[in-house]
Amino acid sequence: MSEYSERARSSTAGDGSDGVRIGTAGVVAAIWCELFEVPRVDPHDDFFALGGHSMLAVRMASRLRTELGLRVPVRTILENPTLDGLSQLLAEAVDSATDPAGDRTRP
Amino acid sequence: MSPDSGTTVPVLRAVAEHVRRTPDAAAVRSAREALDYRTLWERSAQVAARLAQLGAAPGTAVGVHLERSADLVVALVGLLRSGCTAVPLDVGYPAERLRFMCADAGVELAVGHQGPLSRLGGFSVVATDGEVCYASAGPSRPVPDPAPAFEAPEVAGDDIAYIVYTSGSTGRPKGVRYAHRNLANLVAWQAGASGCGPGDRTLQFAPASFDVTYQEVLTALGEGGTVVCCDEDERLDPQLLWDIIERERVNRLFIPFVMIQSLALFADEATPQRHPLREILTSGEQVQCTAAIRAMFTRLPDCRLVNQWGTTETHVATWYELPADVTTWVDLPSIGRPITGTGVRVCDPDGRPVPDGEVGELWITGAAVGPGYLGLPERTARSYRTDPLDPAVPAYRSGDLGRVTPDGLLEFLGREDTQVKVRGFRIELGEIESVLAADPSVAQAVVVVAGSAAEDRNLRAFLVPKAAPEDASAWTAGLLAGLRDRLPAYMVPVRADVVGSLPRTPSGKVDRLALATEGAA
Repeated sequence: MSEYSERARSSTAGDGSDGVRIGTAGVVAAIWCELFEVPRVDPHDDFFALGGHSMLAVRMASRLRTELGLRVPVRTILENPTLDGLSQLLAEAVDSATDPAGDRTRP
Repeated sequence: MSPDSGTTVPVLRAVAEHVRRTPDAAAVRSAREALDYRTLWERSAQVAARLAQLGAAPGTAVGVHLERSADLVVALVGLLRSGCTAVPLDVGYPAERLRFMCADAGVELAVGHQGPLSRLGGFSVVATDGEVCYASAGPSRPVPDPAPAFEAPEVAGDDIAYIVYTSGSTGRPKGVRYAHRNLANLVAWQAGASGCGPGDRTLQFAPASFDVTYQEVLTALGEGGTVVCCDEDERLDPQLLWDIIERERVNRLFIPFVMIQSLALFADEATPQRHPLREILTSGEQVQCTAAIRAMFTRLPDCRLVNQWGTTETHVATWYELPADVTTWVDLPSIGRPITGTGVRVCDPDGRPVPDGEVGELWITGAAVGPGYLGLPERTARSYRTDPLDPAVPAYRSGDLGRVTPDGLLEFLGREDTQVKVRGFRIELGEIESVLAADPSVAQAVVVVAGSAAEDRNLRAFLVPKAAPEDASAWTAGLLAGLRDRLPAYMVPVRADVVGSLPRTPSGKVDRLALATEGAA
């Protein structure tokens, strides 16, 4: 298990409704609950349907950086609007310890 | 080439002087190209020459429909030199709104990039220089290349430099005119007041449809500095903004308050060596010195925070540079003192100045005050007045409330009407409501701002249907999609809820506060 997912596991918040969430998905879910101020989220929940906007995506990127140690581009959050989709992408990034969508080429 | 510093428009005389003295200095940098002052001057003359070839004269309204680029900077300078009135047509706006703006301002000629011009429709390209296209709305036939040499026309101080559109409470955007003399005063003041100078780099962050673009570009060029272009992703993502500050050695930012907050969320590795910022200027919203923002400026001891206040009708009216010592900052900093040639009077509802310390409406007087709205004489007469203390001096009633504090500085205290600021954008809620209410299935529409902190603030719509929709979420989604076709993205609510009726205050008005609280839940 990588260092990131250890950190993710230790900071996981279970939501009690469908068993204790673990790992990256649990961390992402907990951050969504916190930022959208809802008691629980569903894997199919959509960032925009929950009232997400660009500034909220910025704050989400900041929280993900703190909790997962990942640099997550704001665009990645906007372009992967379901909780499930974003969690999977971030879990892969945590496992490979690379930037998600970090293929942005800079001059 | 002769840099005609004696004959160019006043707002560009300092730029022309840099062209003469340091033609090889960097004027504009983008990811794709770098222009020195000589090249900027030649290319902007080419723009002005093309416009003249196409029949434009001082005062002709010319649309500017360019993506973020060095071309945009060149075109703004070229348009000023031509004496034509620039009408920025934001490439991100819906076509319907852009067509309204073109019709309202009488735009029959546009400088643009091919892609946006094609999406807008109604214009045919009649000449091309590099990637810059010149397009005509009328009968079109290509003109010969190259355009005849540029000859600087006579441009008067009262000639209109640009028209930018702001949200209008009755559902109709207002074209705000700003004259060459207003802009020359602003730029001369800003260049003098800023800690940046020759060789310093300023990011071109503002949307092209914002007057702040002129402040960024003309101040940097007037100082002999460099304008650095960015892309939309860098404007959206503070992580990328930190990257470009480091990579391009950016010294000065003009950004809305929410972007300062966003930068502060990612500032824990900022250092003066990597991030040579010396000045962050902000306007459009009440600044709040949060712990994160203080921490960011503590990490960047060479960087000053400057709070500016004004309206589109006046551009910058007042400014306040926060002290170098962050520990002395108050939570809600002052908007400071008026800029050169400009005054602020705190007035009662009848336009009489109130004693210092009392709250009143802020009236801006003097050089900052533009000539008025385009084609709206009654609206202009209501807001563009004269100085209560000197009828020979123009004034603008801002609608903002404030007072003079004991130290002689101005304090901003919000507004009384339903004009709001969301992420630095000025929005009349009534404009959004009127578009929603125009839909035949809507009985009543109210839009409120939910969220109290600036970073949470977002628009929520509450809709009373004429008949209960079969599928409420499909109905609201359809209405929001309709808004996206008609309004800039920043004016589209993030959420719409169906309600049976609207809460009322005891006096019978819609209780916006109750809705805003509900919307935030």
